Amino acid sequence: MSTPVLELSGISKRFGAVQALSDVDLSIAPGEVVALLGDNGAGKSTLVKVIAGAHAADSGQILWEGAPVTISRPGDAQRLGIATIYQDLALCDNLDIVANLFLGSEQMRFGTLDEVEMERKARELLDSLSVKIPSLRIPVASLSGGQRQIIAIARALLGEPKVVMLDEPTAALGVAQTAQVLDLIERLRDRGLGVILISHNMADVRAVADRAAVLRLGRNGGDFPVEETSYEEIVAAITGAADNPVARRSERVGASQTGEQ
Amino acid sequence: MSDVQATPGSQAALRRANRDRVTAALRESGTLTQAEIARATGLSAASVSNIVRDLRAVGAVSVRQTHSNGRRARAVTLRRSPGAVVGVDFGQGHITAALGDAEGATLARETIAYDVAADPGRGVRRAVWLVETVLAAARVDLSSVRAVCAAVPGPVDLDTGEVGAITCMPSWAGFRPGAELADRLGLPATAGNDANLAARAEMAEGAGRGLRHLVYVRLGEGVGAGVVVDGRVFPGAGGTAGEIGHLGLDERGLVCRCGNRGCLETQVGAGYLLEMVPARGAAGAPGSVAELVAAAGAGDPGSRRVVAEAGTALGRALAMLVNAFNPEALLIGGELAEAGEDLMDPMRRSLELGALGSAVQRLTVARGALGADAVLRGALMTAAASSDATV
Repeated sequence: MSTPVLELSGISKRFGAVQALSDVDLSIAPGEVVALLGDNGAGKSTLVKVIAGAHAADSGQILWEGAPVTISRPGDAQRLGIATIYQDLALCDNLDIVANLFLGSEQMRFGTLDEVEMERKARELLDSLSVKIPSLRIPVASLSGGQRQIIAIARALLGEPKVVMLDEPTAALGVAQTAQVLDLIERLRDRGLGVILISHNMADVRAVADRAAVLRLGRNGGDFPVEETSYEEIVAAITGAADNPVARRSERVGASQTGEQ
Repeated sequence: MSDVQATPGSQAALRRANRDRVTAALRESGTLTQAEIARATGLSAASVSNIVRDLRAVGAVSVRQTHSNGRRARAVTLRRSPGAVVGVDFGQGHITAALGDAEGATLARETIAYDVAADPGRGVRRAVWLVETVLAAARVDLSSVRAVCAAVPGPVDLDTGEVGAITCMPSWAGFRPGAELADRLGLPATAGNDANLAARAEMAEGAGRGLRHLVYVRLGEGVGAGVVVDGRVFPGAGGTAGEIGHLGLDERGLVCRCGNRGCLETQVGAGYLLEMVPARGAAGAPGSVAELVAAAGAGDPGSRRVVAEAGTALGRALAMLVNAFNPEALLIGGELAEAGEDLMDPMRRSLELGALGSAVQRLTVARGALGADAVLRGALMTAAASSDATV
């Protein structure tokens, strides 16, 4: 396996009396989709915010393409090449698709907006993602949930990131729209991007993820190759069914039995 | 019981065992209230309630409000063999998955756009996602599915389950969609040719109802036929029967991907037809078969000509088939069949020229009655029939 594009080790984060993350490790290789799974309050969002620079970690190390870096502000993460798409998408409903894609990075020509060039680039970008949207000049408010999600992801790609984090991209989408978003995630992987996918939907995770990293109560709860792991093993890791006195005892019994043979 | 079994002691195995206890109790006593089921099986009231909900979702039981000892109760009656089946249709550019009851009736279905031809492994992975999504929406547990049948556009070897070498999806050659689905879903799964499955469905509940001998022709990227002889789909020695797309019609025609020249497919296959459209690539020119059919219907002379010539070529090829098999009906399905008489009229005329009088005397030529659903219906029926054999 190639060098991970992003590697976190021993990340801890405390909010007052709450230890949100303790000693968490996570790595993402180029061209890999890692699903970040966990129950409510497991620390998924905190970890995403640490990577995105919204919260600085209290301790731990972050390696970017093998070199140690500090991410203390969102700008740091963006400069490195980490794009985050939050659940609310942060799109402006009243603006058209082109304006949304170039929001904050508008292209100028002779002191005015270069609409022609922006539209050409937008069309090129969406074509490269095989996204079919009839007109780029309609307000985002009139798009479907799936299309809005795709526009939000496309906007993040304009900064040419190497890692894309998606927070619940398929929540509240219909079947056909979810399929479109899954297609897009596959295309990001084919381009060699590392993708961190946060999702509660196990079917979606099993459809596109290469690995599932489970967080439980702010700690690493296991790291599974999705194709070789059963649904139940992953759910057990999320709920902690694999980590209780009964499970530990049966493991000991099993180990001693194999030891006797 | 299937031999693909959940791990002993797992949640799935436990659910399956509990469901079997409930159905066994119902089979023995006829109608029972949920409380009586709980007493008879020793399961908790909550478990019984969940199991009854699952069985009801697949249509295996009916539930009726009643009274027992002056209290409200729910009377449960077994209607048909419990267990559901799943059908999957791998089409050109789309995947459809459907949930069916034990008799093959459709309970729920979903279609997504997907580039199926690109990579068979990914296609199956996405199909598994679609199946899981359909089941989750219908609140049916994967463990209550007894069999899965997938339709692919191409010949499927009867012994190995491998897709044949010459199909409209070259990357699928040698791939085993049935085995791959079985592996990923943990359920018994088979795969079949789409035209054969559609023929089965048309014979059971479509335009071929009550007939013994019929030919179903499916027009898509390629051309496939399902040949029904004496009430059964005739698969041939290895599953390649009915690949009429490679009947040679014109020795000076285009070279086909099969290596021969002038095959039927080079005259009616979707890709070839779109190549023939005048002003191809210009704005407003048909870019898909559906658009071509619409343009022909709207009277565009170029599109009408393309559709009519496809009909003529099809008629010549089908004349050979009619002479060989003397069927009672010839049913046409697939996207191009939507063109209706624009296609069928020239087809009938060239068919009558090429076929023996005695062979067409008792022949009905019509469009399939099930339309685009035929393939999926056939897959569900096949899955239901195969699950009957294993129960």
